[in-house]
Amino acid sequence: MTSTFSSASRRRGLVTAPRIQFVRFPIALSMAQLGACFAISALVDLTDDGDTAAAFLAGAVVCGAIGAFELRRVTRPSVTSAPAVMTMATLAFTVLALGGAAAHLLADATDEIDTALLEGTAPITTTAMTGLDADSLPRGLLMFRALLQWMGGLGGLIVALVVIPLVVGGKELRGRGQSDRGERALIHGRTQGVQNVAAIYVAGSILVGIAYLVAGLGVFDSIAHAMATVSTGGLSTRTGSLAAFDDSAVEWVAAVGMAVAGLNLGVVWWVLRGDRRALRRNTELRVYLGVMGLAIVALALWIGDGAASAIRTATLTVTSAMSTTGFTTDAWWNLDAGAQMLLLTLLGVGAMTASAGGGFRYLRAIQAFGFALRELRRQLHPSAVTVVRVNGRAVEERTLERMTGYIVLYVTVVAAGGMLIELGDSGITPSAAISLSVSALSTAGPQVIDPVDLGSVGTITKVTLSALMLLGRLSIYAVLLAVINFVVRSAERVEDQWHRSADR
Amino acid sequence: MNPFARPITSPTFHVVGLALMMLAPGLLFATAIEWGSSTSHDEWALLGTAVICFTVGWVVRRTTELGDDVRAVSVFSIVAWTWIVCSLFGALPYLFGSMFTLSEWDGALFESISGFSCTGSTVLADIESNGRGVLMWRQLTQWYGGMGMVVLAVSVLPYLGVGGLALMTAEAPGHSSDRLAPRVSETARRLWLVYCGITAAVAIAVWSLPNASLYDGVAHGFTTAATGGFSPYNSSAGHFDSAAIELVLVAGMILCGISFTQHYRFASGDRRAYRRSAETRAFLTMLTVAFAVVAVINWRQGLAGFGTAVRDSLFTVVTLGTSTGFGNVRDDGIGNFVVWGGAVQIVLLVLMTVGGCVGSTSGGSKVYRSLISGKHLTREIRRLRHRQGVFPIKLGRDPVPEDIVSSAFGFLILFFGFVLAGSLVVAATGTDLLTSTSAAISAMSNMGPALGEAGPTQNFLVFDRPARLVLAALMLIGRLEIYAVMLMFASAARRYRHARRTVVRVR
Repeated sequence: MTSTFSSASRRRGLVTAPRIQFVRFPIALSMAQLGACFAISALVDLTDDGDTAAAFLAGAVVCGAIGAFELRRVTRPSVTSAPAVMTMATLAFTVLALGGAAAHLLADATDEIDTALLEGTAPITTTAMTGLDADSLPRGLLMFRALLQWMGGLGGLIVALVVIPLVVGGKELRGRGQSDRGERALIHGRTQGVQNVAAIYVAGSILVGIAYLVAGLGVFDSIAHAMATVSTGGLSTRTGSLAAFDDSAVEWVAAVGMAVAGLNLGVVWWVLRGDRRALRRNTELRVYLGVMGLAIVALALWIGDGAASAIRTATLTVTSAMSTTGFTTDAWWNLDAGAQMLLLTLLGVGAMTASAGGGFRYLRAIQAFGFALRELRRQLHPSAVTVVRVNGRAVEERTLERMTGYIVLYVTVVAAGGMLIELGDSGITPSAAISLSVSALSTAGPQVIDPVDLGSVGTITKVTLSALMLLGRLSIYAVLLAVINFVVRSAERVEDQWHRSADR
Repeated sequence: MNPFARPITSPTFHVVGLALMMLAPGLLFATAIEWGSSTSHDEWALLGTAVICFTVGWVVRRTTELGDDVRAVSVFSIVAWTWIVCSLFGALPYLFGSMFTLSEWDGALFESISGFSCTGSTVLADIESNGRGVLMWRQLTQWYGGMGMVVLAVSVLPYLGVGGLALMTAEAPGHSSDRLAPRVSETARRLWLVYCGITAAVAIAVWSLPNASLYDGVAHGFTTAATGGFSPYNSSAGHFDSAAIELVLVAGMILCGISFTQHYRFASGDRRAYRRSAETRAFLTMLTVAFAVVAVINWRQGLAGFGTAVRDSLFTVVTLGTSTGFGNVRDDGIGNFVVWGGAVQIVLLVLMTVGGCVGSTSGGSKVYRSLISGKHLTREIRRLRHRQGVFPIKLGRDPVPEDIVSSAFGFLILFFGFVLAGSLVVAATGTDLLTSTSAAISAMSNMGPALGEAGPTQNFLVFDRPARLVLAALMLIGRLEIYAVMLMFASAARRYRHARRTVVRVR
């Protein structure tokens, strides 16, 4: 009889009901969001030729119906564990990515499923990686891509800033570093936190949109580009990205918008509240701005033709790389090798923590630097007990351990990604494969070297790139946690069933 | 006044002097070969350098003394300066002879640093046009650097205290800090004994095969044992076009990629020495897996027949996996890994970065550190689910102390930092991304050839002068495992601070 009450069955008994909610709720929510996106895009498409409006309307009805139906039946789970949160976030982003793929198929932008997957994953993960000719896409689809980017940016921010720290009590996934007083003021309760983040995000989008309008873009382009800027998405409505407008004012608006989008949202909050002390104490901000300044000067010297235009192009390129947005005015692979290496490094490091951008992030890089310096000092004083200080306070050893683990993970994923990209298409040069891998993992998107036609690469390459983008958007640890949790739970279920059949 | 009456206490100068004196026998050996060869003319350059090294070394050694004990802070400056000074003096035969003119001083220095650091990159467009003696000196520099000049010096210093072990540890790859004997000098002597044994074995094995002379055997014995990769021939090991010789070199390289401590233990009767070491097992597994992957991809991509694919893949994986850097490109261009597929090149880049075992003569960031970082990652992943869990890292059966884990990561962060900075500088001089990154990795790992434009059939003249100097600096930094070079001024700075404080107090 004892085996009937095995630990696995007891766990299962406790877990069954909420487990289904964890799966059904994010899917339902994403479906509802997809329905709304389809509806808005269908309306926007009507302002143009309206060819895809019917298909999108059908999409809106189907997704909206499923979403609304499920949302009424499933209650919002009260989330208490990190694995559950990360499972939900991963599921939601995956469903949205599949929705994006469906939109590309519905709009006849492509008829290959793998291409649609790549094109659908890119916007939701805020990556500007596309093999399609934006000029030839219907307006509805362009709007859909902009909306997905916008949601991807907001979703990423909420997961990073609100959900993880609150659910996990600040201990888990702390590598993102939401421990400052200013941020705690930004977020001191779940609902209030989401409201604050969303308010700043929406206000920022409106401001950038107005700035684009003033700079001379049309209404549609302004809205789409504002969404792509604040989310650090970077997918333009034109094939040539910002070069299509050939307007210095537009480029300056984009550059400033991207630089701000790459900031820690806590920093934006302090600026809004005029908290100078917090700003001054923030090492990450100083390093971010310092690197930005140096990189702009270096790149401007490299480009060198005509001071004003060189500085403008350099500023746009550097802010685009550092915030992992991906707007361009000129192909990066035309630059000198040194400039390419610089941009690839900036892409890899990415933006600040708790920003809409991706990448390795400056906080971790600073922690790594401090960690290495401490080891250097330990060579001279082996028994010295010292701490690594960032932002004026000691970093916990646990955080440092997580950071070092993340370095291994990051390097492994980049190398494995490069290998898989190569295996999918042997025509890609090794440096292009590694740069694609870095670019996708940091959710930036532009190709830095030896351009590859993404439309014609092999299926393995496309799937790998999509996976890398998702990993980059949700943070590698988070996805790993979700996947491991899924595997462990499934194993428990199998074990449980095995026990039951044994009992019978 | 007699300058030798009261020696100055300076452990740095003392060890540097000793190391310089020890270069003299090698230079004399090379002089003898140069004299015996009909085509050469650089014997006076070699002999002159031998005299200079011995005289300078002797004077420096007599005017200085070691002091009571070597303190931790002096260890790094001793090691770094020994290597820098030996590299400078080692370049003299190239400059005095006909290899480089005086205006090409940087070429001579590059060749010397590449030699002593066991890297094996060259800036010689035509190696075979030089005298056999000078080329033998070039091989010898790698042999000296393989086990390390400081270990050599320690082996004859009778009176080193605890500092001796620290000295040997600071000169990293030549050994691990395990004691093989109660006395440090005895440990150093035993390590050199094993080293000489392997060198002789490889030399005799190569010599006994057809196509190779005694000269070839000795020359390749030196650089195989040192996992250096210099060869007196333009096409390196490809010169012989012999699978048998390649197999001997492969065996030698694998042997020297494993810790010399294990070799000594094995030789003194411990049959389980290799099996017990988790690092050795991981190293051999890594080479086997990489070989299988590379061979299969090469064969599937139809670059060569099955036999050739296996032969070239084995040689390339081992030569890059042990940071040796021999090439086996034959006259018809087969065996050049630069033209292999992209996936293979990424595998090779990873191999170049990882390198051999701690305590071997090979470079790279070492299998031990990769192993620790891998285990640390698994621990972090387990901690995701079990937040309060305590998971010690174990290698084999032994738990690894947390400070060793931290120190491994400190090293890896600095290693990647230098690789990144090096690639940025080299790329800034106009070299493409693959070539510049792989060259920086190659220099830091003391590898030799790189990918892209700097492959095994090319020389490093494809880089600009400033880039070559940066790469030479990276070689030294990589060979001394970063810390020694970064802390070489720590001792002087401390003495300066101390002196200033004393002056203030006197006032």
